[in-house]
Amino acid sequence: MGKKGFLDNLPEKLTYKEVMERVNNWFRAQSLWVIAYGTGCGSIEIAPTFTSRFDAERMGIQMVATPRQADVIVISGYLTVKTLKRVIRVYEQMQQPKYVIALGSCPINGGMYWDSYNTINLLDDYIPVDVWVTGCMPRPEALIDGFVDLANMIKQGKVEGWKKYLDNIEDYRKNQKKIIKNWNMPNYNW
Amino acid sequence: MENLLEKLKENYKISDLLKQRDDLYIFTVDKSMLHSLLYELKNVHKFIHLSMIACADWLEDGKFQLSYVVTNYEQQIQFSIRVFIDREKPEFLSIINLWAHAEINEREIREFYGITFDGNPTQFEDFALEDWDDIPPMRRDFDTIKYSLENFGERPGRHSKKVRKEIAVQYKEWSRK
Amino acid sequence: MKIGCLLLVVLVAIFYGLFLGGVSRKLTARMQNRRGPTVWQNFIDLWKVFRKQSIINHGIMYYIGPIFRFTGGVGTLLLIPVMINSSCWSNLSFGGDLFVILYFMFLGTLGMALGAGESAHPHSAIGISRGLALATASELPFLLAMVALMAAYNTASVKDIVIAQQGGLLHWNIFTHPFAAVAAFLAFLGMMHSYPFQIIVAPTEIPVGPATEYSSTHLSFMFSGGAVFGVAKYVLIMDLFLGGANDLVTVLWKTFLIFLWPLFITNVYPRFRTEDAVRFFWYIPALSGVIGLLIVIL
Repeated sequence: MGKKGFLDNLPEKLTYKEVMERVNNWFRAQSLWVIAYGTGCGSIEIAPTFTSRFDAERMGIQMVATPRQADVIVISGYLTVKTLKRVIRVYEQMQQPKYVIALGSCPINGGMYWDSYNTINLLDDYIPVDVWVTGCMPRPEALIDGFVDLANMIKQGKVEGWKKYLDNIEDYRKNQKKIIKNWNMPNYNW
Repeated sequence: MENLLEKLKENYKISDLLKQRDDLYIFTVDKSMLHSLLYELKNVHKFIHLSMIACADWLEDGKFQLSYVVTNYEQQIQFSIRVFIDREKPEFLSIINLWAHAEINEREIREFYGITFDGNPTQFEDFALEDWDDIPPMRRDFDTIKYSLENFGERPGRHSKKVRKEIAVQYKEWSRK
Repeated sequence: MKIGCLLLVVLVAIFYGLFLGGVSRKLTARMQNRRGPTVWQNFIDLWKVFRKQSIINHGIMYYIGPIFRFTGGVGTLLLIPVMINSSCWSNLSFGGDLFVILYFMFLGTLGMALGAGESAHPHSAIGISRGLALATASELPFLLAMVALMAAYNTASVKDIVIAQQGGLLHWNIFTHPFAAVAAFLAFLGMMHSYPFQIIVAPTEIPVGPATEYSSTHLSFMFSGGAVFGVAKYVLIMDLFLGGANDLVTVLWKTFLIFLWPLFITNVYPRFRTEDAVRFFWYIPALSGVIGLLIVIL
């Protein structure tokens, strides 16, 4: 994945905090831990990505089973309202900094289920998304391309999704509570 | 099979008999006769498997149609028995004392069409939709496109291009190079 | 001066343990016909986990658990003489230290169990009960092998056992006490949590077992504690069965050979259930240990 972006956009005055942030980002980009949660039909493309043919472990990406230790959540495919409630709970249990990859065309504009009463159309209204991977379903090479893009963006320091979520939590909650009628979980899940 | 159908025609007043395939017969019966007909088919004539309960919405006639599909595995014959009930007051009697697993089929029909079945203890639990508060979604007067666009929004620019035409134009450009 | 040497030993052990973890991932990947991560991957993981922000709080025992694990690992390492003839690397060994080493090895698992039990996650409890059952079962053959060695050389000090093995390849305990060696090497698989006996972790069955609620600093403690613990076990087996060492190069290649043994077994076998694992440990390894003990005593 090279050193692209690590030395880009250096500010004139380098403070200790800036340098440490860049070093941290360089380490974070090379070891992304994905939570093993297949939310839709795209999870059938995640499984080959982590096995021998399209090896994703050579970039340091591995699957963990608990949201407390994960960095990335891959929303693979459509989300029904029922699953969205659980995804929000899982996303809020992950520790900062965290990233979201949206796989397929259903999170972008509804995909082939745009006219269904049960699936959401715009994922961006409910959780912040960093990388969109198009396709129905994208092949494992496309998903690895998405991971590489995410790693390059992290090294350049451009990934702000989790900060945006914390700053605009009221707007996101309003959107979420509009479609999730029975909010029987704690108000903040972290 | 023909003499069986003749006998049933006299006893239960079957109408609209249609031999759809060699192994599938479809007919209509009055809703008061259904339970005794199913009892006789199950216990006497060996139609022991309830394969499906399906429902159709006749909006213009003001009726719901329920189809009970029973199968005889020794002779490999299926009967699809149709029953019409009123659309304004959709109530019917449950058949869980004949087949206990019909409880789940009737729960699904209650969630998607709104027909209540007397005697089914779990029919008001959620089957596939959680906390649904609109009219039952499989009815024909439920506008699903309007519901989706109102509640979930639309990404601008979705309808601006004809996709197949775009692909054809771009493919011609790439293949020319 | 001694404190400086001890610190040096711990740092080298952490570095070596993490490096061996990376090598193990690379070798596993090559056995599965794919490239693997780089050999420095565990260092990168450790830094990343250390710098994650964490806002979970489950009480005081939750904090102490990883510290127990780290202390168990470091304590075990510091009691085993790494190189017997150098004053700096022979740590805190003394006569009769084999008993203390056995106690310290259990302390790590116990500490993590106590800490993870406080983390309010139901699956941690399942992982703990399975892990403790497995640790108890795998200690029995190891204990039998150690008692056989202690009876053979009339001593409970690791240093004396090492000195008694000098004088050539065929004097090593792995050749002179084969039954005890078989028992110890099979019990070693259970202690290292390698694949047939990996029920304590069982990833995605119960989400990573006892470590489910841990993240950021706690996880980095457990990670490095695990690395040190691994190195301590390799050094112990080297001292007891492969003749000990006098200089650093010998330590490195002998522990590398011992490290290859669980690696090759891991990549071949699936996971046993707890009952099957316990039954296995009390059958062949225990039998072999008893035979080894009887040969020495009679």
